[in-house]
Amino acid sequence: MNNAHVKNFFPAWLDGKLSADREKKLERHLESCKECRDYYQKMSDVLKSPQVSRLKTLEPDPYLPTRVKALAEQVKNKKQITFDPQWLRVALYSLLIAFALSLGGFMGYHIFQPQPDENDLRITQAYYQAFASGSVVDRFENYLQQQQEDAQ
Amino acid sequence: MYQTYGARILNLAFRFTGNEEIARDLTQDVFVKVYQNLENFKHKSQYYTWIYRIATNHFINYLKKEGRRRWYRLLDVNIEDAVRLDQDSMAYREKNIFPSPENHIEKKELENLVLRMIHSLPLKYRTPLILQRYEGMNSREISGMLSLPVSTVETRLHRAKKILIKKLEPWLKHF
Repeated sequence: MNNAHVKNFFPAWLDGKLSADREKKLERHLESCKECRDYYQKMSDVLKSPQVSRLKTLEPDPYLPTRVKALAEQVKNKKQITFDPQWLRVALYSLLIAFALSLGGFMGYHIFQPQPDENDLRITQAYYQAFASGSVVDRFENYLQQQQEDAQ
Repeated sequence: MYQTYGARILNLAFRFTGNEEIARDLTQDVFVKVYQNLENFKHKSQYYTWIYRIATNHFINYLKKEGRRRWYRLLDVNIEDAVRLDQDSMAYREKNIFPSPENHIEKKELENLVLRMIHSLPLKYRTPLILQRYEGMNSREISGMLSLPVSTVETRLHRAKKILIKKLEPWLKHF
């Protein structure tokens, strides 16, 4: 085992992920090689035993709870002032959609309504005119007969 | 609750950010969230786990936004200046955060040096390493905290340590 190679095994060795065979070879090497032994020893110490007491430690602010309560109340009050419930929005949007669909259907029906047949129009006209002058039934019958003869 | 956990959350924020002012602001944000959501806490876990989860997520979100802001600032300049600025700031950071290994360094400063090296890791490797190293959490606890599978946490810890080892090697003689 050369030294560079041994150093490459260190992360796996640290996590206990080396095979038993590899670990035995490594330990034999470490017994005989001071440089690698020092490397393993120092790196293990640094990574396994952090000197947390040597880090700067902050003291908590004793007034923080008061500020937190005040901030939380502020946010809560802001939410209460605006009246914007979810259900109202849903109802409003549904109403708008229903109105738009109705309007569209109404306009579509009147724009695309089929035109009445000219013959039908004349028959209807004659029927109503006949009502205005007497003998409605006779006149209407005569007229219908005329139409049938014309069609033939 | 603040008396019990306030100091731990504050120092966790400090470990994540390295800045006292930001750590205090983030701690305040965390406790505001805790206060607002206390009624919704369903006791499915301990208070400590719940507060830690809120805190960790908040710190991670802050650090992600900070990372994006740094890139957005670079968008305002042309490409050449952006590269130069980034290189300059990297060189400045390296010089000030990691003084030369040839210089003498006090033993009491070594842990600070390690923490600064940890700060230079990508966020996804830095987070589990900080929780393991400074909060004494195991992989299972970290996976619960970060909502990640245990295997992912272990992989990230392994990679984080690999990068850290490479950074530590020139400094080993001081330890």
